[in-house]
Amino acid sequence: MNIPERTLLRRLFLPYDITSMAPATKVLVYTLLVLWLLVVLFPLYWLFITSFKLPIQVNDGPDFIPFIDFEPSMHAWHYILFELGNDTLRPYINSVIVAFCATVFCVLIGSFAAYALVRIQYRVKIGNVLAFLALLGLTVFTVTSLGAPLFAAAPVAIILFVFFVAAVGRYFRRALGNDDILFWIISNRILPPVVVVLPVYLMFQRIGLLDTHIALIATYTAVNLPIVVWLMRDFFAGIPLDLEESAQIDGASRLRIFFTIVLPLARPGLAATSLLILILAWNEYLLALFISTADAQTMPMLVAAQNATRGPQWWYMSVLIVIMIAPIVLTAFLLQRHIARGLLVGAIKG
Amino acid sequence: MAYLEARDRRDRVAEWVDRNAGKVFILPAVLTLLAFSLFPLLVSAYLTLTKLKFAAGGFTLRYVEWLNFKKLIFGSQQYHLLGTFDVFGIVDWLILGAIFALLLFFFVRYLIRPGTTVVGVVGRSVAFVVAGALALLLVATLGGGFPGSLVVTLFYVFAGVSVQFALALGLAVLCAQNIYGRNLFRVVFFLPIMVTPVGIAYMFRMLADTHKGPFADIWTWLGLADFSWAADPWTARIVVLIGDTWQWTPFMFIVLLAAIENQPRDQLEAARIDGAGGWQIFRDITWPAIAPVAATIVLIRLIEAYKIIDLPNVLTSGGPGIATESLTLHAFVAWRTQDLGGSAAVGYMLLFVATVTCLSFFNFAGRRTRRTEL
Amino acid sequence: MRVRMIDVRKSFGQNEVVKNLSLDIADGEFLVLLGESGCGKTTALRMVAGLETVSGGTIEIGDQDVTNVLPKYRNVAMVFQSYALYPHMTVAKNIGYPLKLRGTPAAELDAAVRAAAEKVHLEDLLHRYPRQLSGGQRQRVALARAMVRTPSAFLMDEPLSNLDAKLRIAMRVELKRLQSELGVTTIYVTHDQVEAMTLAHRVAVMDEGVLQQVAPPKEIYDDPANLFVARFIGAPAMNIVKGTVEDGTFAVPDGAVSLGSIAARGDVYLGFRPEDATLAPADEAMLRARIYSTEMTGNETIVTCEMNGEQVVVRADKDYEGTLDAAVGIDLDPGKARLFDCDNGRRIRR
Ligand SMILES: Nc1ncnc2c1ncn2[C@@H]1O[C@H](COP(=O)(O)OP(=O)(O)O)[C@@H](O)[C@H]1O
Ligand SMILES: [Mg+2]
Repeated sequence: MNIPERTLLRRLFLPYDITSMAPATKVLVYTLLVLWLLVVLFPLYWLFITSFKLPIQVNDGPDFIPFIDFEPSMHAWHYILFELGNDTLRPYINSVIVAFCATVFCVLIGSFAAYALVRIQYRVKIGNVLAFLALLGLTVFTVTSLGAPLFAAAPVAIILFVFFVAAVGRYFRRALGNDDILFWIISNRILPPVVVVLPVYLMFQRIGLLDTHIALIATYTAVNLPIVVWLMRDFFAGIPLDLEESAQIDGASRLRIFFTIVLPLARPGLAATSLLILILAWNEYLLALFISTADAQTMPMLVAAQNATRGPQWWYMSVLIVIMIAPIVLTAFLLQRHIARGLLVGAIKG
Repeated sequence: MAYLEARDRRDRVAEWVDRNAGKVFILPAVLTLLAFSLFPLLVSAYLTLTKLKFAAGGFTLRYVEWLNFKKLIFGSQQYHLLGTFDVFGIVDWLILGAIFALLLFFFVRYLIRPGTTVVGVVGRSVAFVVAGALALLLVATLGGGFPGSLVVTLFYVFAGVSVQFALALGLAVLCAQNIYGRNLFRVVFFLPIMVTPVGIAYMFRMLADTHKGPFADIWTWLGLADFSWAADPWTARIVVLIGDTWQWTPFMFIVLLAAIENQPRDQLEAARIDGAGGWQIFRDITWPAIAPVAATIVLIRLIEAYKIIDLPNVLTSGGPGIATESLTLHAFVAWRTQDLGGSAAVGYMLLFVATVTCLSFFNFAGRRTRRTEL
Repeated sequence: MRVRMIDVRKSFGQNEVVKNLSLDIADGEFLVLLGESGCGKTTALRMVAGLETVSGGTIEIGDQDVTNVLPKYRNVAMVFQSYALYPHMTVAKNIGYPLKLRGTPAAELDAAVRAAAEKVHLEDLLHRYPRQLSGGQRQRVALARAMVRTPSAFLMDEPLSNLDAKLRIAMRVELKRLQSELGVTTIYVTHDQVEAMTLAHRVAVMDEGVLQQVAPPKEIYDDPANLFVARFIGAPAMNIVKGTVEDGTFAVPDGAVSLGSIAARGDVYLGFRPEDATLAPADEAMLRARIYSTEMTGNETIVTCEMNGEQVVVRADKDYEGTLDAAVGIDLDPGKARLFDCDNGRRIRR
């Protein structure tokens, strides 16, 4: 056994016992953590105090501490909330509606699929998939370049597909399983929104839904769906099958089991996933840029538009950003514990 | 009787749902994805081959074959997507040669090793050709030319994800120590993810303002008060990167922290008894244990990082010139100038590069980290 | 190496888990810490390992005070209940890890790994990963990892408790042989008294953090220091009967046992082992009882009798046949009967 002598230098770099850190390590750890704490908090602090500054206080150089460096004023808040009134309120309400509905739909539809992929064995014939893709391509081609109307082409394609599956489908051997379906669903997230947004824009323009809540909700639901499926799947997989089987024997239907047993048991996962989707939908910028122009304008659009309309009027901008952050931070603090766990489960198993 | 009938009908519906549970459960998701992913993807593919113009009451389409791609890669938009090329010097050739040799070495090594498959060969061919092409592009534009939106996006993605991962891992390791105020740190560190990216862009514009920002005195002291970071390509890109890092480090941090805290305590203790110190424990026990999680979040961040638009658009409007334009922003700019075919083509380029990168990473990291479960 | 614990205490908050534990373990000795689950055995062991700080007292290894020395300098080897194998390392890497950390040259390391693996018959599995091994094989990897270097002491925390019964017995035999071959001081924690009795040079019995008795197995069995040890050791357990001592006899309402010269005192407990008593006709025996149940185990019959509301167990011949509720007499060997104080449970020596 070779126990090192506790010289002064060793005392600095060796922990005293197993529960403590070496003094030097301790200083380093706290320094770095506090440093990053400042990196995170200072911008937010600056944003917050700027919202209480008068234009002149902003323009004549930095003031740091309210009441000492400058006298806080509510004028920016008053202007944004009361003088602008509806111009602020409308996007805010739009954002609330869109983010909330998109989260609910997305989590619901995604959970359905995730659960099904855990509990039900699928076999999708490759031949049928190829036929479907071919027909889809054909439809797109006839509609876009031959000018056939969509309402005519789509039913024809669907009927053709049904005939094809009924007639030829059973001769196919090779089939895709649950993992393939899962991979397909999740891989949709790789798709950059900018690739799909043009057709989506044209689609909504065609059916007259451009610049409506419905368009935004549907789009957000679709782009965030892969995340829900990916995260929720592992929560569902963790639920003991016995519970569901015993409920089944007691006579509960699949839907009933899903809503009364499976979802409640996956609550931590639901909380984490919902929060994540809420954040993504609330802050979404690119799709809103294309799909909402005026009536359905959301908060990120309003904030982004500040630049063009008013120049760098930091005080107003700060108010807008603060009121945008507030509800999310509030929700997140309530669910904070869940989100790490939720993300972890997905990441480990994923 | 009517009541019974109604109940009967309801039962029959319930039974039908039960029998077809498989379809009922998955159809909403599949239909949504078909309508908003697959269908648009195909339409978009078609759009890349056309020139599209809005006309009164609709739009007109003209089939132009590969014109949009030609324009982007060889033609008038080459400067925008790929950048302006530099004349190759001896150093450029040397770097390029080294990279190609390395790629070739790995490819040949895979070919002569046992276990070579057709899919493996095809996948690696694509990955290595893309990697080679990107290397060529990087060398051509970064030396003395001017990088286009593709190179800028790659910069955001790779520099951003690396920096964020390094920071997040460091912070997670620090936060997993036995320290006071752990909960405070982790709550605060999580905050930035909740701030809207557009807001972050404005926030960093404020902070980086050399006259009115909080560091104005420091800028003056450095004699840089009149320096405009927004006018210099690299400082502008780095400010965008800082904003992105500020926002996305927390996401990686929180997952890595959970992974570190989740590792079996007895393994750590066994390592201590075996004589491992702090660094050895991290290298031999902790890192292998969290590697799968690390690979997964890096993959997620890779996927999401390619979509960057908010920060460059608001922070610098893509400027100076096109210096901070990402591919998504490029596509948006093209759309705004009514060049829909061009916009779709840029989107497809993005899709291609992103898919190849992510799949390569998935296969590469997946194989290396998947053998840790007990 | 000699291991000494002097007045060692450990508290978790208000809860004192180990109370004034003093043990002196000689070089090469196999000491088993025995006690019920939750009595503080693991905590005591972890303090020797250095994984837990002490709240008071001193720990010495080989005459060196290691109370506040980090685990890596104590040079002890530990086998965890869960084995704590490193899942991403092969068997060979796992076993060699302690040596690798000490900078052992590769050739020497390989030889040592091979030697250790051979001792536990693992030489064919060196390239497997832990997940490819059975429970018993994993256990042996953990042993080999402990034996690959020459530690100052082996510390084992219920190393066999995760094995099935048959394997446990086989490994017990192996373990005992290995320990005596290597001659390394071993502290072994278990709640299984058979393991303790078969393995130990000396057994230390603990209860609620307090050391009850340290003695060789035979002495623990024959000469329990107090009621706790008497009740805890042996299956079936020692019979304890309450009575009084007068005129050299132990008297209960249903009989008396003459103990020879002993001072009269009030209430005492008399303890005797089931094998030290015999059944006899009711009217001739020292104690009178009634048969409560009989269990034939194959090589003997365990007869449970009821005496004055208390149960007394006697080992009888395998051919013994008693009818339920029949009156029966019990004779016992007074020399093997033990007396305990009614108030503090201590042994009363004659
Ligand atoms: N880290 C800890 N914090 C608080 N209490 C603990 C801790 N470790 C053990 N204990 C408590 O100490 C007591 C003894 O535990 P332990 O030494 O593990 O018992 P044993 O190994 O004998 O079963 C138990 O009551 C347990 O709850
Ligand atoms: Mg224990």
